[in-house]
Amino acid sequence: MESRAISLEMGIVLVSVFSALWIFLGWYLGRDNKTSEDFQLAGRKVGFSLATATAMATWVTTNTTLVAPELAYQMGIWGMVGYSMGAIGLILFAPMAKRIRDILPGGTTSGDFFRIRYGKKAWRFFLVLSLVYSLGWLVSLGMAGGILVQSLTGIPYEIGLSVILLICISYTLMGGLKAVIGTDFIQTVLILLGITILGFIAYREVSSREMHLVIAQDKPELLNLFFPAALIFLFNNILFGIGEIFHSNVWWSRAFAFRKGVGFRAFLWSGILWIPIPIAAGFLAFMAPVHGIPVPYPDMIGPLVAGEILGEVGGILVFVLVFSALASSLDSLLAATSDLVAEDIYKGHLHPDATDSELQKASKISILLLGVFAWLVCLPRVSDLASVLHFSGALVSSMIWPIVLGIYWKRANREAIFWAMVMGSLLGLVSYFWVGFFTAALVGTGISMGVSILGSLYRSEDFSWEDIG
Amino acid sequence: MDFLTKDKHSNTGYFLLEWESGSNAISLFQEKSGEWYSVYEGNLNQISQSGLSNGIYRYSLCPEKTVLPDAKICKYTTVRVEHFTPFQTIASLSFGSVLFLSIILALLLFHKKVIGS
Repeated sequence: MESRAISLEMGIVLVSVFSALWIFLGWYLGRDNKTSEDFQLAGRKVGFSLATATAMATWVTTNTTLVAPELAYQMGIWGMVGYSMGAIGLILFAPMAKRIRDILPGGTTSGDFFRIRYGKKAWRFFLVLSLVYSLGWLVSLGMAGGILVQSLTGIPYEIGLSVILLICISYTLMGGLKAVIGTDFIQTVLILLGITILGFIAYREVSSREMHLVIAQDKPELLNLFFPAALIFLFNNILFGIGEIFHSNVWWSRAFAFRKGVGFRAFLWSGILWIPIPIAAGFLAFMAPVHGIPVPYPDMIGPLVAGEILGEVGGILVFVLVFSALASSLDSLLAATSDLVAEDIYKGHLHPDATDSELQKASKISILLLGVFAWLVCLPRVSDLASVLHFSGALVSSMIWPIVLGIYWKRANREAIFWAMVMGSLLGLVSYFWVGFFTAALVGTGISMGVSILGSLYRSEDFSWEDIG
Repeated sequence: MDFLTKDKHSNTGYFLLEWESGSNAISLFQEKSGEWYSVYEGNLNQISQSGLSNGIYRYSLCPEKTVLPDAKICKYTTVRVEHFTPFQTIASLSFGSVLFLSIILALLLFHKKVIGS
């Protein structure tokens, strides 16, 4: 896309200001970190406001701000509303966060849960699935950042990508989870302000009656509440979101880091607050047909419309909004995935006797290596690599039932759970390629549910978290 | 100058229309009820269309500033939109809702049991 919503000079100023702010906060918030628990889990003392803000900001990714308008443009009302149903994952994780804190009071990663509850075989398979998903998400975030900075400001893709990764790596390295959560709070405020102002200005530009008339005439399916593709997509998207949240260490590390009694309320409120964000972002897409804006790249329709209709002010708002969304997810992913690498691979497999300082060092090296990996993969801008995230729906959805059953049900059998994840992932992938993208999470969840429940009923375990605790 | 998208089929009402025109600007038209309407004029080499109902959509790619498509100087392509059938939609929706409700039900029952104990 060649249009520039904001000037190169303004782009450089914005990137510089935010870079300085995030890095300063990273240093400031992390200056008291002493142990690996401080670095990885913010001392397990995160209060309600910060907890709610970090859960919400992390779930507002570039996907939320860029894909919600794209889905509204492609699938209309249901595309927009369906995307907002991604909040259900956060809401359902609320009771689980409380239970996780109770059964694993000293836990550090989601890998701890799999290792203790299901043994080494399921734990290792979980690590493979989770790392594929995390790396796919990391690459898609990095690429989205580079593309966004270039399309809004004209700063070359390679420079934008490098700067964004460098900033997030720097402040995450300096402050660990404390820096991630502290910056998330400010990023949440910026995201909420940005989306509210943008939605308000956009609404003033076009009357809803005019919008309805134009869309009903030129793109009637967008207003159709029985739009087949959108309805088929609906539950696949919801299950994909649930799978992402239930398994990922991004959310487990927060459940461990929040002060006891905070997790339930924080996840519940972050989910509720998240619901209107994709709807407000998606609304922008409906303005394109009204203004006759040609859309060459649907994933950039949000910034395109904001820049075309609202001028430089709209461009700046979109930039701040998406830059905040991007940083809040990228830093969380770097921190949580590095914990998984340090705890479950380095300590769990390579160096079981690692001391606290060695573990902290391993976490930092992991952050750096993950950042370099993402940079190297994103640099050639091979767009197909971002699709790793899309087909990971099959992988993450196959872990929904193993996690729910393992947390609550003493009869869940480790062999059944292992095969549930293997078969759910494989058949979900087969379905993705043979039937369509909209079936991957449905098949992954269904197969995994059947195998894990039936297998556990056939040969039950008698596991007790209380005995472990 | 010609379309890269030829005889496309879409079951979502959404598709990408691509063409090759070197660095020349083009005019793109769409046929509606037997009449041609301008869709785009400029230097882009692709444009997305969405929200279309079942039907056959005809497009014409012409040199810049063409007023109406002319077979001598323009190229044509068609896209057939045929949405998923009601059976496919209802089957997918039903399967998805059963899976989704099962998760909610399991969490409610398990959580209630944990609180009770």
